Amino acid sequence: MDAREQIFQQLIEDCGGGIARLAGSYARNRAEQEDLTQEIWLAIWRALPGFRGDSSLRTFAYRIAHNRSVTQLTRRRDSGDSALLDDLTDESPGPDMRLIQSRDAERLLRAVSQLSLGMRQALTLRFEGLSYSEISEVLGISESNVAVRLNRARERLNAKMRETE
Amino acid sequence: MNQNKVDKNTADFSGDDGLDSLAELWQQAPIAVPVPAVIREQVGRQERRMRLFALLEWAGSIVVGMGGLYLMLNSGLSDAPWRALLVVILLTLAMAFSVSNRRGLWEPLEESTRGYLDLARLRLVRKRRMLRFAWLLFAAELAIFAVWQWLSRFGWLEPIFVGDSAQAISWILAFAMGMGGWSLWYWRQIKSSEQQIARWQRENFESGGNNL
Repeated sequence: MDAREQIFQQLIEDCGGGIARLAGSYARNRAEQEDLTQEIWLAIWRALPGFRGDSSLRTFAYRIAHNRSVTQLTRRRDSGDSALLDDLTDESPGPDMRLIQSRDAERLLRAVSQLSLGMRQALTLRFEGLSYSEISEVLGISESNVAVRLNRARERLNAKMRETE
Repeated sequence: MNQNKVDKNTADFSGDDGLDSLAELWQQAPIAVPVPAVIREQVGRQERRMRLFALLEWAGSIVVGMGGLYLMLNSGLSDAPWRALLVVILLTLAMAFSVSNRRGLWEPLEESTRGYLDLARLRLVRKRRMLRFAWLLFAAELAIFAVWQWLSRFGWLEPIFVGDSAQAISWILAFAMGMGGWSLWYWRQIKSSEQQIARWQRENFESGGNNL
């Protein structure tokens, strides 16, 4: 296995879940999410030879993931998100508590996907554990700008979550 | 990513931004656990498919062009070389346009959201240009056919349309109407995409200044 493959494998292990969740916030259903996730990984694979180490690998991967997601949005013809996650709601059978948590998580995902692009980008990165400086690096905005976006996103998210309760 | 990692990475936040509990909930969203080997395999497949499609597109154009030429030259018509020349000119024009219209559309100028939105906007501009070119080519072909038909009266060339001229005009009109319907639909698609991109741009200005 060459260096590129090793780095790629490491990235999948470190960011695989995060990128799948991020794709979920841009997709309207499971199939779209899987397609987007695949596209993101293909883009990361193709971009890896150009990685100069100016940022961390994680930041590099998330930047590509976000940009690919924007491309996905621009390709989409209609913007109605009513079908979002309809396919997912009954997919996690298990103990009651887990099911409730899972439904809450889905509700959160649905609410996040309804936010504006800028807020959604900042918020999903924050949820994946990136620091403000890393988020600013990924999105190419200042840290104070990140804070403003997150603050507004939190307010709108809480409002949306209350609406769907 | 586990919660420990989240805590470690958010350690440089200036304070509690009130998002920790939501972040925890976010991490519980049901997702398919990624299998590195499977993803690598998919990526390899996608890359091969992309190369194959590009190759097929070019090969297809060349085969159609060469096939058209072959049929034309073997048609037994006295003006076959002129017709073949016409096919070559029109095909070259179309392919040259196709190549130039795709220039700069593969990758954004910079790896940023702005770069990708700009790229999306450029793609719409090129789509509109493609639409205009399609109509120009259609009009040019009609003009050439008309001149050809007129020259055939003097016996210099063989007529393109023989027999009932009303039928030929009906076919051209039907084709033009079909193309018109498709153009209208395509134009509206471009317009709605433009509005959507503008909306994202506005939303981002609203939510975070001018630094999208």
